[in-house]
Amino acid sequence: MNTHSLDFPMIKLLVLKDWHIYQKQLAAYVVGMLIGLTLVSVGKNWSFYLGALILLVLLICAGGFAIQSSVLNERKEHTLPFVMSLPVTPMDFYWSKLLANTVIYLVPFSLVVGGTVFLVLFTPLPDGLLVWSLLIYGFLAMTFCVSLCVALVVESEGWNIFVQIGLSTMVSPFIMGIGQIDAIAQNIKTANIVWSLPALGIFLAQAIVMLVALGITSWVQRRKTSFL
Amino acid sequence: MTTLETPALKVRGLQKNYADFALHNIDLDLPTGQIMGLVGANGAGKSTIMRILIGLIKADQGSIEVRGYRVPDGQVAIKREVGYVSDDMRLYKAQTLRWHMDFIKSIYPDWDEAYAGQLLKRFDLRAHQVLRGFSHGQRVKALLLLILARRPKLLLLDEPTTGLDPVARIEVLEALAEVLRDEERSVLFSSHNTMDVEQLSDTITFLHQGRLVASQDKESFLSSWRRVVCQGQCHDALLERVRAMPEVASARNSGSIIELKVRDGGDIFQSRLQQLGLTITTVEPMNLEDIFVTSVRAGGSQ
Repeated sequence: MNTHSLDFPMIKLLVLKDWHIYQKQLAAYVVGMLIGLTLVSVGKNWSFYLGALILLVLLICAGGFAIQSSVLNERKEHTLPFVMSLPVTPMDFYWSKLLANTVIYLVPFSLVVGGTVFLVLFTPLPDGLLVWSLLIYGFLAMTFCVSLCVALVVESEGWNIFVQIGLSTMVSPFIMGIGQIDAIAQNIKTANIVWSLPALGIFLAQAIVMLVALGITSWVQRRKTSFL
Repeated sequence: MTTLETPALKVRGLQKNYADFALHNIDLDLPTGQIMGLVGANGAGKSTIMRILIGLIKADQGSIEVRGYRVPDGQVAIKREVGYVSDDMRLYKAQTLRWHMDFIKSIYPDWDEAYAGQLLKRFDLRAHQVLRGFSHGQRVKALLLLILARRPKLLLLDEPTTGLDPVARIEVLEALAEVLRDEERSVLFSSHNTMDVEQLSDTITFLHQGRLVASQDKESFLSSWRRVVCQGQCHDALLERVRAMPEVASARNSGSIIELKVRDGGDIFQSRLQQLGLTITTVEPMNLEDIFVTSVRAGGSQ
């Protein structure tokens, strides 16, 4: 058997296993996010900011939870030897973790992004919020992707916590930063959805960072000599 | 395709280097249907060998075949036919044993549900209990159930009885002894408890500090080693001459009494002792633990 060919049925089983294990906790996050979206939709200033804060915090926590539970705890709680003794290659395992985490994160992420798009477009909230919100969600998706990549190849729990906390603390500076870009900031409170060049550039940069992180992780994973 | 003639394990020149530990040129042969006990102190390299065999760690050098498949390229086929349990392996503590059984069943088509049911009763385990509430002994038994019920052709058991209470240890050893009646099934069983190894194994391999000290079938081991006690006018020169005999692995004296631990010490050896003026008072067999300790101290040479 070629170690580089992937066993998709086995990967699917491992993804379903992770989904089953973490679905209850995920449901709790989804409930919290629905509360956040409801607050945003009320239309008052205080409820908008409170709801937005809840959504941001829960989205960061949901990503961190997925990584901590399915990647870091697998090592810490010694379930990794059990999984790796199943008929899988290290690359099957790597892809299963990547996909499982993406699926687990996509549930709350899609809910929040979809809910935000709906609220911005179909409530009195200014439509100009859309690009600004999507940039922030793009940044959160990027931090999740980088944190996941680090967790997959770096065994040290300390370094993983450092990366996750470090990236999370970058969210506020990022929000403030895009607020300083006129092409983005001047449209936030208007009814216009403007896909300005700086906004598109930031989206592109986020996508590139994610692809580079995934590329480096795959490269490192292929060269690993221990899978415990 | 593996056949009865295909050895369960064939390892040649296995090497693995870490900063503070290395495996040196390990050769191992385990014919199909045999049980090999891997004996060594903590840090001898038993777990490292097991992990390399199942593909959890890559070897630096050497050729490794498990059931005819080369490691690591054939690791998926190997993992389908091999059951691996180690003392540091854990199951998902928030899930029930039944959930684990269903998970394994979905992966291995040879899963034997009736046999799993028998093992549940034999090990006195509750399928619908979450693993969090299991004792260490129950966890080990749950792991053994999960691998035994899928009828693997080779078992790699890394210290399966470590930390078990006497009752659980006997239960596990009895279950293993029953499993091993299958002539096609082979087992590599590591432990620092020589009693367990002596009870189960056909072949015994001693490891010490990453080196293979000795590897032989159990009967040869037990029949070739003897503790010989003799008496005579003991002085340093005599003791040196005794120690220089190739059969002698250990020689200690207390006054006029000399205690020797010897390998292949037959009649010719005994007559040589008598020629040195020594009177043999006792010749008795050694247990495996004593053989292991003596081999390691003597530096090993088999």
